[in-house]
Amino acid sequence: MKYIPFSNEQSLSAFAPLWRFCIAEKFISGIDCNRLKTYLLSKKPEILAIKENVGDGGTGLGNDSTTARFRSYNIMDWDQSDINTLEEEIIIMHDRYYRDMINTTPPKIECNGWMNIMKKGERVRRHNHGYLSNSYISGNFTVCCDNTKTVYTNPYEHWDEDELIIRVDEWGVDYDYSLYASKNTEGQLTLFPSYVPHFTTQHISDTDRITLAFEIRPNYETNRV
Amino acid sequence: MKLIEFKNKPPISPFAPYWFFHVGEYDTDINCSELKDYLLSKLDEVLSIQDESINDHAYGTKLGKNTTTARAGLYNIFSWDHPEINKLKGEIIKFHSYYYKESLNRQDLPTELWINGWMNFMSKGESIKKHAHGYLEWTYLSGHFTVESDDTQTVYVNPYEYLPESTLTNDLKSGKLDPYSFILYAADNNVGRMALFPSYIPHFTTEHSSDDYRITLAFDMSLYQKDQSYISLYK
Repeated sequence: MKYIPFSNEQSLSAFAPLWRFCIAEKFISGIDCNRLKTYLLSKKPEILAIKENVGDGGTGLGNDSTTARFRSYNIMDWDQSDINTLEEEIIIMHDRYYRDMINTTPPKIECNGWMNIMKKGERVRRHNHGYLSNSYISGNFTVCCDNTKTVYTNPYEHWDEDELIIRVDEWGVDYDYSLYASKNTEGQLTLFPSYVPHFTTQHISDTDRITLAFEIRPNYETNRV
Repeated sequence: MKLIEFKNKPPISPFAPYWFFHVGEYDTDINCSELKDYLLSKLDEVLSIQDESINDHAYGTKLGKNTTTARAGLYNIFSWDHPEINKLKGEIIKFHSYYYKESLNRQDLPTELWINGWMNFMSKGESIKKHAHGYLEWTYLSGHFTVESDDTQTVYVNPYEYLPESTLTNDLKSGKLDPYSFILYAADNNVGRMALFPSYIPHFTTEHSSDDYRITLAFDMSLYQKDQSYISLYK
């Protein structure tokens, strides 16, 4: 597992902000991404048939997407071998991430996930998954991609998203205090605090870009995973 | 003088972020009519400044390169000797003292205070896009002062809030969002009013819809002379 740390320098002012968080990445070899892709595409019509509670969560992918129905289905409920493996890997990775970050025993978790299927020309706009007192950990898993990046940004970095894409695409910046541009790789599982903003570069391939995204919730009261 | 507080609730998750900051407001009695005339007299001089750093981005405001905003850092309004500018400097020192003591709950004050200021002239149909003035270790306080405005607001946003600016604007207009919540504070731009806030706080303005210029003065403060454009407030 690889950690990408973000931490502020020693503050020189009482009004300077503080930040300290890590993005974690791990390659999962036990998942057959081709088989998973076929399965996910078979579920697409069922998901797009959902008509209630639609909203794309600030991703810019629009209401005709599987992303916009994220409130109404949970991929973790699907009984498919690769999904089951993914669930197990999330539990393992969460366990280690929590211990390394918080240095105590992690709680049991529940997970809610959805799929993002992107066509040529699309990209995910900058958004985060929450920042209130119960904000916890989110993540994603890349099933199918072709030369895209997910860019995680420092929450205090408020330069325009288009300017940040120039830094990544034209200046070649892939990691500094303001951002981490992660090259999407099939089989990669990523965890990050839910408040961390992120977006993707434009998907320019003819084939679908498919990722699974999820939010983890701690369940302090039961032992159920 | 008053402070508008933003403070997170006690976290119930070890991965929840922390925020605690204030937006301060102070209604001064500076003669804005005289100040406006003076600033208008300086407009051509500032716009004649040419430098390779000038661009349409204009420090994130998107006001364009042919503006006094895009030339920030190439001139400093606080180096101009005018009675209302001098009075404004005194008011900033006074307001900074109040803000510092109240926001940090301490009685000492920094021994040095440096400032760099510029003017924003906005025409009908323009707005300042969401931006912040910095967030690194040296970040201190920023502020602005309204010289001329007609029914605009400056919206200060929780730095962790990433709803698009257009959504925030529309939701404020429709009443879906309150003008003050943990998400944002929409402040009326009253003539003569000064605001102070930590430089890392993102902010934008609503659209200026009047035929007259909207004129504000904006500034960054620092505990040391960050670059040659900064002048000491305590001299």
